[in-house]
Formats: sequence, C-alpha cells, structure tokens
Amino acid sequence: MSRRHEGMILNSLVCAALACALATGCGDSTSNADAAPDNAAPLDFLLPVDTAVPVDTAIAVDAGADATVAPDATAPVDAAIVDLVRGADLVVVCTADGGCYLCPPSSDPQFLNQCTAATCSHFDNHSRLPLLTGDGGLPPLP
Amino acid sequence: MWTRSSRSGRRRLSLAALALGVLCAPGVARANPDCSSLPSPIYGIGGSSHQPLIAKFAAVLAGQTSPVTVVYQAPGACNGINALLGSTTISGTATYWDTSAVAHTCNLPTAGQAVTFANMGITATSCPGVASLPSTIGDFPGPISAYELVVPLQSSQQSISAEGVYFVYGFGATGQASPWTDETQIIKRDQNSAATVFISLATGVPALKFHGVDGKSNTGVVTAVSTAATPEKAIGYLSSDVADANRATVRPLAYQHFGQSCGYWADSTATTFDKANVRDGQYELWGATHFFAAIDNTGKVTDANTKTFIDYVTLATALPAPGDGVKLQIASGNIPTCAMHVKRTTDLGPVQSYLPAAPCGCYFDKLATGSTTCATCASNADCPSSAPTCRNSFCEVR
Repeated sequence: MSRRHEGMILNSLVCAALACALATGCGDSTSNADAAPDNAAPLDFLLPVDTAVPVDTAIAVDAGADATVAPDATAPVDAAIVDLVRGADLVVVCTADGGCYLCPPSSDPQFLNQCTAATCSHFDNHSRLPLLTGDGGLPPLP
Repeated sequence: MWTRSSRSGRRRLSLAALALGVLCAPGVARANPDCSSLPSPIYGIGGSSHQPLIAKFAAVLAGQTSPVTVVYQAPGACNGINALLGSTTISGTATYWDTSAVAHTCNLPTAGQAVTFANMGITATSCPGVASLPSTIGDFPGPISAYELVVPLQSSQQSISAEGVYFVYGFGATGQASPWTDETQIIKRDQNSAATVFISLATGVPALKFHGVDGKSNTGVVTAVSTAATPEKAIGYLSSDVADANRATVRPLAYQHFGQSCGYWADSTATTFDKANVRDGQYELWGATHFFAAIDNTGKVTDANTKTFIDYVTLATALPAPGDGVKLQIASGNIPTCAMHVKRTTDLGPVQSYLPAAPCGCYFDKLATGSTTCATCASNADCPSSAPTCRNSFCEVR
C-alpha cells in the first residue's frame, strides 16, 4: 500500500472518529442508556503505530493567545498527536494538533477538550495573570 | 359656618380618603392579601434564580379545578435548605403566581409560616451547615441550569479562566487580573447563593472569602454589572436562565476551566441559546436544580399538594393535557435532562455520557433557538434509521 493510500485511509478513519465524536450520543449507541464513565476507546479509533495522520477536517481549537475561534476555523492536524493506548501494533489517535480530543470522551478533561463545532475564546493565563507561580500554579489566597 | 358635626363629618371623610389612599398605594403591605387566604397554599423557600421555573409550574397548579397556590420566598439557596432542615418559619412577604404565571405578593403570618419545600441549584451538602441530608428529607432533581460569568455589554472581554476567577474573586484588587481589579465593580453574592457555591467549588476560592460587592440577588447582580461606572472593569456571575433573560444588558463570558485549552460559552457561540456546551459536557459550570421536601418511609413527599408540585416541576408526573412540562422547563431557561448528552451526580462531579430514555434534544433546539436540524415527523415511519423515533414531532435517536 502506498503512503498516499495509507494516508487517505487513515484520514478517513480519523475523520470518521471525529464525526463520531461530534455525533450526539455516539458513545452511547448501545442499549445501555448510561455509559460507564471510563469506557475503553472503541476499536474504530485504533490506527497503526508511528503513522503521520493528515486530518483536514475543520475543528475549533485553542488559538494560543487570547482569541476567539470560529467553529469553521481550520486547524489542520498534519501530525496528529498519538496518545493513550499503545498496543502491540496499534495506538489510539485521539488528540488533534491544537489539543482538542477527537474520540468519544469518557473523562472530564476529554469532555472539556472534545472537538466540537463550538466557538471558543482562549484566556491566556500566562500573559494575563502575573501572580501565577513560576510553574503556572496558584498562590495561596491572602 | 361649620358646625361641630359637619367638621367632624368632613374630618371622618378626610381620614377615610387618606386611609383609602394609603391602602391603594403600590408597595404597601396592607394591599397584599394574606398568603393563607389564597387557595390551598403550599410554601417554599430557596434561591432566586429558579423563580421563572417555579412560576410556570405554579401557574399550572393555580389553574387546576382545585387550585393550589405556590407561595415562595427567596432569601438565598442555602438559606432555603437550612430553613427546611431546621423547621424555621418564614415571615414578612412572599411571592405567589396566578394562572398566567404573573407574580404577586402576599403577607405571611406575623408568627411565621412553616415551609414544605426548598429549592436551589446545588445539592444540600454543598451548603454551609449541611453535613448530610436526613432520611426524612427527599432530594428531587429537576432540570439543568448553568452558571455564567457576565460583563456589561460595553466590555471588550470575551473569556475568563478558572485561574482568572481565582485571582478576581480570591484576591480582589490585589489579584492583578486586569481589567477586573476594582473591587467596587467586582460583583459577588454571599455564601448562601448557589452561584457563589458553584464558583467556589470550581475555582477553590472559599465562598466566605469572595472579594467584591454583594449583588444580593440575581437581579441585583444584573443591575450592578450593567450599570457599572467603568464597564470594562465590571464582572459578576449569574445562573444562565437569568443571564439569558438579561442579554440586553449583560453578556456572558466564555469560561476556561482548569486543564481546558480554550474557553467556552454555555452555548455553542456567544450569541446563541442552544446550551450545546452544557449539554455535551464542554462547559464546566452546570448542575441540576434540586427540590427538597419531607418524605415518608417510602420516599414519597408527605404533603400531597407539595408532592404534586414537585412531581410536575421535575417531570416525574406528566402535566394534565394539554400541558407540556418539558416545554415549560425550556421556556423558563432551563435544560430538561432529556436534552442532555452528559450527566453528573454531584455538584461539579465527574461527567459521564448519557443517553436519555426519551431524548428531547431536537425539541429543545427548536424551542430554545427557534430551529433544529432534526427531521420533522408525524410518526416513526417518517424518521431515518439514524434517528428512528418520532418525539414531539422530531426524529430523535431513541
């Protein structure tokens, strides 16, 4: 299989994953109304290890400094960050370049950072909060 | 010439006219009916933010063949649950609603009136002074609402992070979280407010240590923020139903929680009303409305009329036809649980995916925003396989 074809297939898979993540109740498509909070990622999201995954789907992501990001802002995920489960031959690709979470979320950080069509507005803690500690933490209250 | 009797008669007439004028003057307590004189009153106490919700269901009860009047006093969320638990009576005046959900004021007994339910936007144990809920008091969750940081329309600010809120409300002027460094324009609520408790839980600032000026009520916060002397420096927080109802004067900020890469509004954009980010868990500051009442050993509310009210407002019992409880919850600015895609069981507790037994997301979108992308239907036969069930004239996924 050529690199190009491999990339196209992977692109489709990740786009399907994104579409699934965006779909209402996608993670709840079983007959169980209340999905367990720590569902393992479905196999649809497993991709070969060490594969660059081009994703041309538009998603709303962190824009760095304070900025409002429109839902259709293009955030190409040329090098999708590979994270989570690393099996013998497969890994789960869930995190896009800009930091949003592509797979069906199952933990609070994943829900908060899921890739959706919502507009967001980044608040740059580093530049706006001079009293943050050196490691970005919060000092005790006075 | 005035005779003694004529002077006396005119004096009596003048006094009568004066008395009539006093009695008819707006805002004079004597003009209000006694709450006890209203049809089958039930008495509640709690927060101010969910009065639009209570009003709509109170109107249903007021319109029954055997009318029931919901009488409510709103000194603050935690004051409500503490009054119910401590059997504290209420006095002074209270609000009741007619069949059109129009609010009126009535006079409570001078000696005090017992309450049969409490309402607030947080769980009981999030309130100061409530270590646990006794087995004799039931907790009946209602619709979902969110809490939002708000600024004046004239402000240029778009978002704030949890860390930013920590410095604004935890440090005040010394927090250097520009532009919110003027404590006279940082508007807060006291520690008995559900909104304060929520912001406190989210950011780690103890409710008693909030800096700023107490807005006293949701309405007070709206007024203080919207009329701030320097709009850019003003900030407050509200329940989303109140914030939505006042978008002509205040604007919600996107909120970026700890560990979140971007700030999000409760809605998918700053100007919509779809509550998309609450419904899918991307917005952190949301929770259920709670109603509390005395229960028997089977978990049933002991006071019959209070039970009817709580069953209706929590959708445990459908309204008599043609009533539509889901529609009333949406119309009051809340989110029925059937429109949610996530759930949590404690205030700001872990979020879990959720697929309601009878989803109403399409219906919510239509009523809250005026449009939906869902297919319309008259029966299941009209629906695609991806959304096969026709509910409220829309094809839902189940």
